[in-house]
Amino acid sequence: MNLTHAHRRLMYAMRSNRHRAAQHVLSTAAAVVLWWAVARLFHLPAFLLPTPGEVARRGWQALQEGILWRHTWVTLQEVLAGLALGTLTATVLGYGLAKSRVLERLLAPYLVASQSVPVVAIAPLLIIWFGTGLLAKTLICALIVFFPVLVNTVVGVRSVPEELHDLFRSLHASRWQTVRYLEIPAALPVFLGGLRIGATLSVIGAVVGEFVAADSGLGFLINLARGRYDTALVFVAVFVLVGLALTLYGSVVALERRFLAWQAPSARSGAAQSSPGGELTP
Amino acid sequence: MNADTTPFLEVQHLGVVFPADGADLEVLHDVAFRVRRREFLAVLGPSGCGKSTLLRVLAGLLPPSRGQVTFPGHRARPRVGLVFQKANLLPWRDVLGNVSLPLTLQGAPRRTAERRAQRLIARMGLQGFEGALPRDLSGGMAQRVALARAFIHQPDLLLLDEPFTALDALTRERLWEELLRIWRAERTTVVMVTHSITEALLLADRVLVLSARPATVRLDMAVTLPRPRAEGLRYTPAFGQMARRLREAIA
Repeated sequence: MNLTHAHRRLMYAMRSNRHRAAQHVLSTAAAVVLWWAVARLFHLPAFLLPTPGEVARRGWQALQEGILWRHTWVTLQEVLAGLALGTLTATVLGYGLAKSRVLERLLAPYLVASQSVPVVAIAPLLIIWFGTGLLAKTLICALIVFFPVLVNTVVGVRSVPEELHDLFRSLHASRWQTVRYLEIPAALPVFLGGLRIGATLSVIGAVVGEFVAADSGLGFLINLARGRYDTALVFVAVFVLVGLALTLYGSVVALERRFLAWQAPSARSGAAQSSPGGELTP
Repeated sequence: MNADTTPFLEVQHLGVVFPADGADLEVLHDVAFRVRRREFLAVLGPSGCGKSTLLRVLAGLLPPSRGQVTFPGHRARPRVGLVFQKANLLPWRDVLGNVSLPLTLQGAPRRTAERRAQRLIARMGLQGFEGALPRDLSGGMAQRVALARAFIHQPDLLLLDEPFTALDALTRERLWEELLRIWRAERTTVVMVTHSITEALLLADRVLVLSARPATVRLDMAVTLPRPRAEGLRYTPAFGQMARRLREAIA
């Protein structure tokens, strides 16, 4: 009996999908076992390295007490607000920079200089000016999201071929029509590549803000737990942060799948630009 | 009837100079010619002579440095259809979306736009490919889509910038026929830049030969070959004579 080509391809695809899922489970399991072994073999006390089981129990407990959810919700708010604010300003300003050489000459030095100052160094200032509430954290978050989104917006908008602009001009397209039918779709691949980086950075921004001064949030929870030598809780908070970042990243990847279906799967240029190949690209 | 004596398009003393450090680059120098309504004009010239610049001026994309381009019968700028050497399709729109783009930009209702697009797609022999994305089209198919797009808003003036250069010989010859058919049906005035003497003689009513940069009009020759012009025409003495005149003017 001969398998048809299509059959074979399908079976191969299924097998490789199952392979990949199995690989993920296997690598996670290996990491947990290694962690457990290190904690056990070296007889490390729980405040240095808790075992996976202790971390899981602590997480369950924090969940039931309600503190985990409360602090996660605070951080999530900061992250989402900061991501939205940073993306919005970066997109608007990025479009302006891409279209106007004058604006670029005026602003580029400041933008580049602003990137040479680590956010950690500016965070205390923002806390002094805007207090320890949501606003300051949102601003810190927005600040860290801002640059990668800005750069990719500029590159994306500039990547529109001149001949397509000629085409639109010859058809007397209005400014808004050119933006809607040409520049947005053409810039989207590179823009989403920037958003993917920004999304993960936004979580870092929120934690930086919370480390400097806060009375809630996952960054605050980490500080609190560290002070009490509750290392298991530190681990719990870190895992939740990782989960947040992965979810945001996955959301942008989902956006790419939805809006960039017109690209050949191998040519998702925005992805190629911002991250190495393999699992990091959609 | 002065419809034939009033030109559709009149180019007078047209000069284009690109400012550059040191010496300015003069691309077009005192170019003058007329095009009648529904005429098919081919523009020949050595490569880099400024043929594409001329086309950009005619399309209104580039203001002339000297002289003027007028459309005597028109109060406003006429509607223009553009086809480039590359198809220049929007990769995120399918064939139907690409062809109907000019009507969409004019604010035509979607149904109307799509119905007319469908008709042109069928005329270009692309039925069944309405939903295909540009990445799945061959070069010839993509250029057919570009031609359909250039005709959809019933332009008064069709500007073609070496539209068949990037295609293989067989596809090119089939597209010549399709262009002529659609040109006759839509009654459009055409200006086509090309570097192929054969293409100019098989398609055009008149051929303009430009000199090397800065370009001026070297020769303005009517093509007196009868239509329809079959492939075999290439091997007739009349064709050979005209081809020779053009070749001498270009050299």
